[in-house]
Amino acid sequence: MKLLATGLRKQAGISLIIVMVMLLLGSVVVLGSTRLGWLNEKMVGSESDQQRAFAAAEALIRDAERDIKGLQVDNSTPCSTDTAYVGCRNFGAGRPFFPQEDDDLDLLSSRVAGGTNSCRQGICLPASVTTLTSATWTGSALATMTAGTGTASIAATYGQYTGASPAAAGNPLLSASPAQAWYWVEVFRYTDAAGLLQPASTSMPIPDKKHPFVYRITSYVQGLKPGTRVWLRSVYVPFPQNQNI
Amino acid sequence: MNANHMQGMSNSGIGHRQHGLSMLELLIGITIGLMVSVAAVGSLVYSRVSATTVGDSSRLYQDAAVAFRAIGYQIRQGGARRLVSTGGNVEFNPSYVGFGSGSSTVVVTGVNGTSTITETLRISFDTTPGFVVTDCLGQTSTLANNVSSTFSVSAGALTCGGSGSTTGQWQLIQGVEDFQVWYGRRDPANDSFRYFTADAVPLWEEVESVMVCLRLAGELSNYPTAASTGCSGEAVPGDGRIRRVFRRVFNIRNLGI
Repeated sequence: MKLLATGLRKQAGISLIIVMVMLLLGSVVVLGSTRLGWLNEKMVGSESDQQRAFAAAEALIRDAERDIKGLQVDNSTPCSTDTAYVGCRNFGAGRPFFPQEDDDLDLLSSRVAGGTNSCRQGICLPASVTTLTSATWTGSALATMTAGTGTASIAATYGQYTGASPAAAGNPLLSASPAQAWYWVEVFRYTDAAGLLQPASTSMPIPDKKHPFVYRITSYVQGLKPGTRVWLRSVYVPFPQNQNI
Repeated sequence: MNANHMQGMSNSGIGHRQHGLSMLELLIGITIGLMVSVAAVGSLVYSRVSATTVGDSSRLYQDAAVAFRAIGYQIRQGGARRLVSTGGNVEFNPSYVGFGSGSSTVVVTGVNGTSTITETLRISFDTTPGFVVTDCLGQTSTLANNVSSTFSVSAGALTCGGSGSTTGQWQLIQGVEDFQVWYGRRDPANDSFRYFTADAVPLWEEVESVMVCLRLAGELSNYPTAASTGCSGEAVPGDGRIRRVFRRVFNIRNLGI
């Protein structure tokens, strides 16, 4: 019995080494595949974050277009029937609004004067098309542009004026708090010189003379990962010349 | 004595029996071990092969996603025209004509591939200088009023060339067997919409959408694959490689029509 026990103990020693070596080899294989899976997970995560941010930026541009036209999310119901409103914007208390005719520009100018880069509540009236440069949309300048909430905000968030529901949009990046997605609309007056007829050289719609404005919408979305950022820019002509509005 | 005798007996008896038992144990152990090893190696080989197949196949999907993302990024912006200042107001930049000249603006253009010429797709848009809007190589344009990208195929790889300081065609993805582009145009006469190959497009100014087809093949050639259908409906004989045909339509958004 004593010898048998000694024999067993010796065998256990060899088994231990063999099992440990096999475990080690197995662990190497498992670790290798885990690392591969983790890498794949990371890549897919970045890709989906980018696509989510891009979709949010597109949704913001559509929201800004509705804001400019004064329509709710169904694209037909006016934002407000209240006479104190111009489109989706409350005209009172010195707030900015989207100009309806030439004379509105001076009033708008005074109402956005206090804001960063002549922007307030997502409406900007810059001196020229080059006033807001790429530096405006990066670093600390961007932090200033996205600062403030409610009436004190420089930018506008999804549904803030059109009433569109960020929750119904199904994209977590569009949520109002904490805000991760903003848009700004620069208002420009289109020149009269090119006025009457749409030149053949440009395939672009020219604004109607009664509403001679073009709007440059910039949307910016910060994804869930710190490195995911999307800027989208679109030029919007709400009332093109050939549509007799 | 008795104890000694017993010890001697048991010593030799156990020694012999142990030897026999060890032999039997060894044989059983080796047999079981071999069976387990065969099963383990078999399943390992099987999982390796299936992992390689899945990897090869998913690589095709990822490659196609990369290619369409690069092409789509350019086509979606195709024909964009920036605002420029004029007399205190603004206008759409009248200097941008894309690949056209004079009074005609051409946003996309291409060359139809033949046995000697490779299929080529070119896309252009206008951007505000200094803004981070780039060609397919990620560089800002050195040309005034125009960012352009050229997609083509060279030695089985989809290549792209930009309009920045780096010239030449650079590889995007490999394993491209076929790259075909069709251009969608609406006939002003009867509003019918049709796709044309590059050599048959009646008027490049009227192209509204671009359909891109890529046929990609895997790297490994040990799969029993059947014949497949290519981009233009042609039959592609199977040669043991995994093949996928990807097709996508991109709309040119900035036409204002």
